[in-house]
Amino acid sequence: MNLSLLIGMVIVYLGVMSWLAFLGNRQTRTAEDYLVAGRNVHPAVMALSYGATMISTSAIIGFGGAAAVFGFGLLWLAFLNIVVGIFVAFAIFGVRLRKMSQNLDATTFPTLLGKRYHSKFIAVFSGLMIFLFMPAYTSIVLIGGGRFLQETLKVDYNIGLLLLAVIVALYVITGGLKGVMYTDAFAGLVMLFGMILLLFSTYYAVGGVVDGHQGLSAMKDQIPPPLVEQGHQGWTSMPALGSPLWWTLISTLVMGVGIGVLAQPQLAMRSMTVRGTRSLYRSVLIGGVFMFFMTGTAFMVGPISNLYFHETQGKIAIAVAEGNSDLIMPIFINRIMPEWFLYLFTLTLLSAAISTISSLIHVQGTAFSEDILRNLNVSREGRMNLSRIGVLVGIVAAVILAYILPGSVIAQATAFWFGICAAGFLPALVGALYWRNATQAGAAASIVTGFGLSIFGFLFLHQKEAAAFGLAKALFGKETLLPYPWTHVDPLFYALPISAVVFGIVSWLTRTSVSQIQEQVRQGFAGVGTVSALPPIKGQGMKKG
Amino acid sequence: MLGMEDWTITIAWLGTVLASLFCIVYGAWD
Repeated sequence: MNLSLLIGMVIVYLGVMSWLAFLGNRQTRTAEDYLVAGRNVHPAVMALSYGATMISTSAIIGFGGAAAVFGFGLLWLAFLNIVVGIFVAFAIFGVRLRKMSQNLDATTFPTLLGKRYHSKFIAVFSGLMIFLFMPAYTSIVLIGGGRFLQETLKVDYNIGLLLLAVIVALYVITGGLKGVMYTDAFAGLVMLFGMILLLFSTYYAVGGVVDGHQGLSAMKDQIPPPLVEQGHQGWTSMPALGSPLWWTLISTLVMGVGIGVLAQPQLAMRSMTVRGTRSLYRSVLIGGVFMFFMTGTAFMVGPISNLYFHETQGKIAIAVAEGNSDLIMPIFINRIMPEWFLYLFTLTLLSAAISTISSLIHVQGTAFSEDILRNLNVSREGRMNLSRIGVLVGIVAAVILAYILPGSVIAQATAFWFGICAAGFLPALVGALYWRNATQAGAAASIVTGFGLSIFGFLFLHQKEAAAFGLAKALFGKETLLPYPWTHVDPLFYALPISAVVFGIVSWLTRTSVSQIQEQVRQGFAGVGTVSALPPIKGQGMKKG
Repeated sequence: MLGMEDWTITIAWLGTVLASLFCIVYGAWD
C-alpha cells in the first residue's frame, strides 16, 4: 500500500467525521439534545449508529479469527445478533423502552430504571457500575485501534492510542449524542460497504457457497490435535456436545454476546433517540441488513479462509497466522482482495473503533453526570458541562487502564462487561418494561445479585478471567475455586437466571409495596401496550432507597 | 445440505440469511 495515499485518505475521512461532529454541535441546544439527540433521530441514522456501536474492530478481526479456528458454529451468534440484537431490541423492547423513557422523562438507561422503580439507589448503583467497569471495555477497543494505527499508518502505538482518544473525546464533547450518532452513521456506511465486498469476494474465491462449504467439510482431517481434544469436529460441524469448546461457544459467545446486547446501556438507549414507533419499525429493516453483513460476514469469511489457505499454501488459517488468530483476517484480506480494497478496509476498521469508543464514553459521561451526581443532588446546574467532564474522566480512565492493566486481563474485558451487564440489568429491564407488579426492592436485589454474582464468577470460577486476574490464586492458592465445567461456563449462564429468580421472589415478598410506586407504574406504562396515552411528565423525581 | 457436514450448522447459516430477510420484510414502514 502507498502510505502517503493512505494517510491522505484517513485525513479526508477524519475531515468528514469532524464536519459531522460539528453538525451535531450546531444542532445541540438543550440537555435533551446532548443526552438523547433530541429524540428525533432519523431511523437510518439510529440503525447504523446502533450497529456501528455494537461492532468494534475486535468484533471484525477477533471474531473473524475465532471463526477461522472454531468454524461455522459461531454463526449462531450472527443469527442471535440479528434476531435479538436487532428485531427484539427495536421492534419489541425498543417500542416500550422509547415510550417509557419519554413518559418518565428519562434520558439515560440507569435513570430510566431508577424512575420506573422510583429508586435513587437503582439509578446511582447502575450508573456506578457503568462508570467503574465500562472504561476497561473502552480501553480494549482503544488498544485495538492503537495497534491497528501502528500497523497500517506506521505511527507510534502510544501516539496512535492517544490520538484516537483525543479525536473521539472531541467528537463527543462538542457534538453530544447527535455528533456521536452522525459520525457513527457515516462510519457504519463505510463498514457496510467494506464488509459486503469482502463477503462476496470470499465466496467467489472458493467457487461459490456450496462448493466452498463442501471443500471445507472435506478438510476435517486438517484440524490440529489439541483442538480435536477440546471437542472440535470440523469447521462445518458444531463442537462435541458438552466439550470445553462447546461450552465456550454456547455460554460465552452465543449466550453472553448474543443475549447480552439487550442490556448494554449504550445500545439500549438508542431506542430513546427516535421520534416514534414508526422509526423503530423502519430501523429493523436497516439494522437487519447491517448486522448480517457485519457479524455474518466475519463468521462466514473466517471458516472459509481455511479452505483458501489450504488450496493456495497447503496450510490452515491458524498455521498461516503462526498461531495468532487476530492475524488471520488481515492476512486473508491481503491475499484475496485487490489493493484498493485495503484502503477501504483500513477505513472500515478505523470506523469500527471510533464509532464504538464514542458511544461508550458518551454513556460514561452521562453515568457520571446524570445517573450519579444529579441523583445524589451534587449539582442541578450545567447538565451538559457536567456530562462533558464525565466524558473526559471516562476517556482518561480508559487510556490509563490501557497502560496499567496486564494484557491478559484487558483481553477478557469484553466478555466481562457483556456478562455483568446482562446478569445485572436484564431482569430489571424486562421487569420495568413488562411487569407492573415488579417492586423496587425486587429490582434492586436483582441488580445487586446479578452484578455481584457475575463479578464473583469471573474472578473466582471462570478460568479465562480468574487466571488473568489471579485473585483466586492469591487468596486461595488455586486458579479457580470449582472444577470443570465451571471453569468453562460463562458466569452469565448462572448469574442471569439467579438474578431473575431473586427479582421474582423479592418482588413477591414485597408485593404490598407496589402501591407505593403505583404512580410511576401508571405514568411509565401510559401508552405502552394497551393503556391509553397520558401526557409525558417533566422533572419526575425519585425517592431515596 | 449446503455443503455443511452438520445439519445444525446448515440451520445456523440459513437462519442467519433468513433472519436478515425477515428484518427486511418486517421493516417494509411518527
